[in-house]
Order: sequence, then structure tokens, then C-alpha cells
Amino acid sequence: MKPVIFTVSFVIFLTLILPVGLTFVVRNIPGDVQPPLKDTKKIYGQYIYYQSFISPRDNLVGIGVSLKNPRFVNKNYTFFNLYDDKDTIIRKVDLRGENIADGQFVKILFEPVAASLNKKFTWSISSPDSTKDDSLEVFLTDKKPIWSREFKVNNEISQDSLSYVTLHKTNSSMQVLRMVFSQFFYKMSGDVIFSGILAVLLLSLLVYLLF
Amino acid sequence: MFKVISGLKLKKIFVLAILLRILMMPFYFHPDIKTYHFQSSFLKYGVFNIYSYLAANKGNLPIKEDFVYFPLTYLFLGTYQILTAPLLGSQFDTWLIDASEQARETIGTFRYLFVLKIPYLLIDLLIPFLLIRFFESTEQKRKAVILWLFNPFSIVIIYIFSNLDIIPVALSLISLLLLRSKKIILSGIILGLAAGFKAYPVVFLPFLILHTKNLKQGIKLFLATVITLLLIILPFWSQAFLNSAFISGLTTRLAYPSVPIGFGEALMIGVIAMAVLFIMALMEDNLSLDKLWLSIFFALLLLFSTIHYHIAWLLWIIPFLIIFYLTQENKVGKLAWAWFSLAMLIPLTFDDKFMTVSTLSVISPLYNLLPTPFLILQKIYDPFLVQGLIHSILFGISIVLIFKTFKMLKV
Repeated sequence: MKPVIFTVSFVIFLTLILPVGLTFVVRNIPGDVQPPLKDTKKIYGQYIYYQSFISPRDNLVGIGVSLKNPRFVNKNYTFFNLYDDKDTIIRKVDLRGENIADGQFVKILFEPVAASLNKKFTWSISSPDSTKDDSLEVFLTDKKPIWSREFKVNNEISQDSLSYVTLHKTNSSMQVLRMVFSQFFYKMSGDVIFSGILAVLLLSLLVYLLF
Repeated sequence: MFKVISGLKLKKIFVLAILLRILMMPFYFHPDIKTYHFQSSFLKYGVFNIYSYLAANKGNLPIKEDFVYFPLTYLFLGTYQILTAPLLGSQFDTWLIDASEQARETIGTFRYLFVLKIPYLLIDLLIPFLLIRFFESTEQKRKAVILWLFNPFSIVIIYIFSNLDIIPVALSLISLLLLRSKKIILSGIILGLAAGFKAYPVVFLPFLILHTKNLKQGIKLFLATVITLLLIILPFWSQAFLNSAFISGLTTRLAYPSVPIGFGEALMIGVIAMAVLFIMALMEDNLSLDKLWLSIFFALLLLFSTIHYHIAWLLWIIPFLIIFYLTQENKVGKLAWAWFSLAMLIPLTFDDKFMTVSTLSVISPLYNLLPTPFLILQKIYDPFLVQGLIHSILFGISIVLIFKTFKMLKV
């Protein structure tokens, strides 16, 4: 009976304990879901990309962005700056390509900006020492979210938009847990027929086992 | 089947196994299930040769990956989608087409995952009935059923990584059982069907031929397998098919680990290991069909010890691991499970969030923000070195298991 007890405990761990336990490890929550990825822009030479946005939450602590770096080709520094609505640099982060896997979702984290809700910010990314052949690439999207604003290549406004999310420091682990539960129940309650069938199925199997 | 389960006094155990599986099915996600179902969805629009179609239309499709499986996978999954269309609902195709992370936020995701995993559940529950045929005593049969239904590894591979390897696994077992019952041609046809889903059961063919009684039976088995496979793949034969299904996957990975010997030549470690095993079996005087599973088990041990594998492929070895554990002495059997635990560990340390934290992303996208074991490991040590180290230990354990077993068989 050892394998039975072990596997029952393991499945209970995977379906109940792990999803709850992991929420206590989440320090930052995204402002929205990352928009779908489309083409990319290479970050190299004189190109500086500026992306403005209205922060959807308080405690802005980072930007999450997917980067292309085939075969870890980029080894140079990439510079990230965050500007406030007066175009003053308020946060700076330096990235090294050698630690970024191809297509990786990179969290560019900085000291939290406390009262960030509904304020306009701009982030820029550049890598003057990289060349076209060894550059990191940042993804564009064709589904620009409403909180995202203009995208500029150097000083030129572009019709494109980068695919990214804002990250925000959580107030407490309970806030994360509440978010996870609300997202889970949103999907369960949105498909009542399936949820009902699943519940009946699980309950009847459980009743058979117990009686 | 119910008679067998009742006879083994395992009715409640069987129900408990179903309950655990149903609990996992809707709430774990791996992108592979969406990718191959997106590709298979073209069957309902009348596309027959999926390989050529994807090659010609790649630029316009939201998911641009090749269809890397063999044709029966496409036909089976495509037909399943047609049959279950009323259960999947009208928004299913929209979900498949959406390649963004937002797709996982869609209402209906749990239902889709549940319905798409039902065939795996049914085949998963069929395996114990095949496994018990390898044993004589009721006690061993009971243990085999429990070990299949209640080992966490197969549950993780089938219901989290949702790969369809369970289908060729079941067909390969049926083929082996048919060969034991001297139904040579039928065994070859079933092995051909298994390879029609994924190519890997072809690796078993040389060992199956070796265990037949004479050359005539060997040729019969070979022809039945090859003709069946050819009948499946010939209608799809094209450059696109060769590029997608043949060049990717196992065939290239088998040749990849190699030692260069100059002038462009290389010694292929995987092929050497398999050749040594085959020749050792060939030199055995009293090869019996009863020990065929052992040759296949060893072949798979060596295969996984020498190649970079997908976690789902590990399912191929579990039925043979259970037979090995129940028929060998305790210490060696436990070593085999230790080998398997290490083998499961390697893919979990890959730089791929869908090997760990993001498999929960259908419950909430917040899990995507968690660091993967690769990133955590990177802060302490080089993860690639750790993977290499574990893989080397795997190879070492495989050699010990093979030589210990050969020694015991001689005694």
C-alpha cells in the first residue's frame, strides 16, 4: 500500500498544496497579461527604444518583457531606464545578455515607485556596444493594451507597440492568494456546465470510495 | 476488465486511480497539447497532408512549428476533435488559434484540457491489463497494477506534460504480448501502427526480431512492421514530411552525442551503446521470448542515458521498469527506480518554465512570474554542468544494471 499512500499524497500536493504554497513565493504581480508576441526589434548601436505607459497599479517595481537571444549570442550590456512624466530618469538597470535565454520572459526589476497608479512613465532600452548580429531583440505586439502609450524609436514616434507588462510589488501574500483564487473561480464559474460535471464526477467517485 | 479488477480485489484502488487522474486533468497545462491539437484541427477542414500544408502556410499561421509526429497522430487527434466537437464547444478553435498567453485566461480552458486528455486517461487505464499478462502469480499481477496506477511519474508525464506517447506505449506492449503468443504478423502490424504515431517503437524492432525463433519468423515480423509503417507514411511522403517528422526528434538526437575521430567522422555514443547491447543479446545462447522485455528495457536505459530527451519520452520505459522491479532482486529493482527518479530530474532543470512553474499557468498567470529551478540553480552553480553530471550518473547506473542482470541470468 506504500505506493498508493505516496501517490495519493503526491497528487494532493500537486493539486492543492503546491498551487497555494507557491503564491507565498510571488513577490510581484503583473499589471495585466502580456500582449501576444509578434515581430522583434533588434537592440543595438544608436537605436534607443522608448515605450510609454500609464501604470495600472501602485508600487511599480519592474517591467516584464520577452527577449530574443539566440544561442546566448549577446554578451554586451543593455541599458534600461525608467523616466517619470517629466522625462527625468528615476530608475536605471543594466542587463547582461549572457544570462538571457532565447525568448525568455525577463523581469527588469528596480526599487518600487510607491504612488505609481495612473501616472505616466516611459521606459527605454538600448545597447550601444551591441551590433546587428549579436543584439538582443525585443518583441512587438499587434494588440496594444489600453494602458500602453506611444512607442518611439530614438525620437521618432512609431505605430508599433512593445509586448510587455508592468510589475508591481505585492502588499501581502494574501493579496496574491486572493488574486489566484479569483482567477481560478472566474474560469470555473464561467463554464458552469463543465464545473458541474467535474464536481459530480469527483463527488460520486469519492462517495463510492468512502461507502 | 472489471472481472480482472474484481478478481485481483482492486476495485476501489482502480476507482481511486481514476479520481486522482481526473483531479489533475483540467488544471495542468503544457503548450505541446495546444500546439499539436492546433495542427490536428486542420483535418476537420479537409487538410490531409498536414506536413505540406504547414510548410506552405507557415507564414500565415499563429503557431509556426512543424508537425513533428507521424501521420497516425494527426489522423487520430484530428478525428478525436471532430467526434468531441459538441463537448469542446464553439470557442475551441478560437482558443487553439490564439497563440498568446491570453489564451490560457479564456473561460473554457479547463474544459478543453479535460476533454483533450480523455483518450490518454482511457489508454492509461488499459495499460495495467496489458502489464498483468507478463506475470503468472496473482500477487505479482496485483503489484504490477498498483505500481502502474500509483507511481507519480506516469501521472506527471501523462497529465501534466500531456504527451501522446501513451498511445505508442500501449501499442508496443500489445505487440510484445502478441509476439509471446506467437502471433508474429499481427505483432508486426501493431508495432507498425505504434510507429505510425511516433517513430520510437522502431528501436524495438531489432530486439523483437532477435527473439523470434528463426530467420523466417524474423523476416515475417520485419516485413509486417515495415509494410504497415510504409502504408501509413507513404500517402504523406514529401520533403516537408521528411524535414518535420524524420529530421527532428529521436533520429537526430541519437546521432548527436558523438566523439569526433577526424576527417568528418564521429563515434556516436548512443549507437555504440545500442550496438553493444544488441550484439550481447545476439551472443546469448538461450534467448527466450520471456526475456524480450528485458532487452527492450536495457535498450531504453542506454538510449536515455546517452541522449538529450524530452520528459514525455520517459513514459516508454515505465512498463518495463515495473516488470524489471517485480522480477529482479530487491536491491537492483530499487536501483532502477533511482535511475528513473534521476532521469525525471534532468528535464525539470531545463531552462524552460513549462517544465515546472508555468504548467500551473492555467490556474493563474502569476505562476509565470516564479523563477524556474534553472534560474535558482544558476545562482549557485552552472545548471548545464549539473544536468551533465546527473546524465553521467544515469549512464553509470545503466551499465551497472545491465551487467548485474546479465550476471544474475548466467547464475
